[in-house]
Amino acid sequence: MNAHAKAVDIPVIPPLDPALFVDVDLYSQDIKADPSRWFLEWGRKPPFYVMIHGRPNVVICRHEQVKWAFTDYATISAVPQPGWGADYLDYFNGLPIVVEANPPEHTRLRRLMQPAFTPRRVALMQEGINQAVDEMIESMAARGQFDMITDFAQPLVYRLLLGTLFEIPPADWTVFAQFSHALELVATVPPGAPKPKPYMDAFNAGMKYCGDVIEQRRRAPKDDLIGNVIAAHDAAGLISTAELFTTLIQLFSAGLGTVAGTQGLCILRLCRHPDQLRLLQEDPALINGAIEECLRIDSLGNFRHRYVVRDCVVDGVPIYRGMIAHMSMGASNYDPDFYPDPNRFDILRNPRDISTFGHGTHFCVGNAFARAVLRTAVGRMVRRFPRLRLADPAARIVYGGMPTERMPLHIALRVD
Amino acid sequence: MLKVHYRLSDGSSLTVTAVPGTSLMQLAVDQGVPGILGRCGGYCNCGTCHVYLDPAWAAALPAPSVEEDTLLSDCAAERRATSRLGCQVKLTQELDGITVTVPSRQEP
Repeated sequence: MNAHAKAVDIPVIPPLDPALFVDVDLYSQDIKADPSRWFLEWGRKPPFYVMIHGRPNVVICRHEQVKWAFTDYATISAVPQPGWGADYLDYFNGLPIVVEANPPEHTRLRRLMQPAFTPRRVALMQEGINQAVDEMIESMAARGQFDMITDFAQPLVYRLLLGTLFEIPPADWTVFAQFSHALELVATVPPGAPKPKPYMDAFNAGMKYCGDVIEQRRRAPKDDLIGNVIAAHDAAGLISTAELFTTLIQLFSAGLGTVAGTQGLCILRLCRHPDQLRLLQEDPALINGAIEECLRIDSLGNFRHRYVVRDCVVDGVPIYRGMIAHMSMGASNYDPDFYPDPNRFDILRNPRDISTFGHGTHFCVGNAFARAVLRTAVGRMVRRFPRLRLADPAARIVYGGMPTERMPLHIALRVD
Repeated sequence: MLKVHYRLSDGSSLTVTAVPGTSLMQLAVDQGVPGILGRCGGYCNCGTCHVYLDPAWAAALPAPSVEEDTLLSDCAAERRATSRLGCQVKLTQELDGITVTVPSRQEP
């Protein structure tokens, strides 16, 4: 059982070298819109401190250091520590969740969801992905102009994740869409304040829905993802009901915005680099490498936080127990030791070991699904629309999503 | 130091020198051996470092863990009796000269 720390131990951070502080808002619209302005420097920089809500936090950016930070959970733990300064990132209301557990509790939770996303399982979904993408693309062709996010990517991912993978009826999809959107509201919560009502309403609606599904499936078991997770619980008591709920909520919400948003980032990047777009259109076999380069240069997740539970020194910088550590997947992908000339978008680069999906035991469980959807959607779209372009290249793209993410909200495209 | 032979899916071979302690996966990724992805970095999570051991070597290794055994059945390429995940095979001096075959695919 995953146990959260009691809010009685809030370590005092020793005095820190003022020269190691950076005055920056990690979650600003500017950093979402063009993170390269910071990542080109940070990808070469030792860890540094930032003040957030009155407490010093540490930001880790170099590729090897980010990999270490994600894997050494004895020093940087995934288990939330209330009061240490990350309450504004507490999306799941304190429930036990796989991303907030260390081994061995994490291993047990992870085992329940991993079978759904193995290479073989994703291969079985490929025909369904192809069909959904082709149908969506043809409906865009009929319009001539469309919004990449709201007309194409979001409906596509809802259909694939909720309909194809989890087999939830379309009438119920809104429950999970609303919770996924409500996650962003958590960032508006001042330290110690209760969650906003819209968040709690969406949360409670999701809890009730999952409880009802559990009861239905216990009465009439089905051999699908949800059924397998429930069966594992009943058969061997491997998971508590709260953990089951959070497993389902995590699976439902984790992929909805991310896979849709990343499709948008890929298309935006290609449209802004017409030479690379043309290269891909002329040789569709380049799609896998092109997507990897898109994922590198435009990681949807700028940062991911964890909890420093043991003092350490990284690249000469003291890091103390009680600090929140923010690992920058985005900046890590701009480390010139791994990716020379990191701001150059080159679909022939074939970058390896990118940080976009994390590292270590928490490596994104859905990465194969995400890659399959991206390759299919982006590959088929650029091939189907030789005249694919931004409706207004000068238009400012606005980004939303959680504070640590950069989700393009609307991307107006023309294909006529 | 020890030598590892990777037989690639196009019929060619690559021989790589390794320091004991690394894994078949990490060595391949570090040395740029094509066809082994190791996307999760060696945590038995992703199934993209699947290899086929030469039968003579397969018997020399301890049996896979439950996690590895489960994932081996869900890799992109067919499972064989000699299938292993490269990240779970730690190279020791006793494995000097080991030969592995890289499957034709690691992803769907």
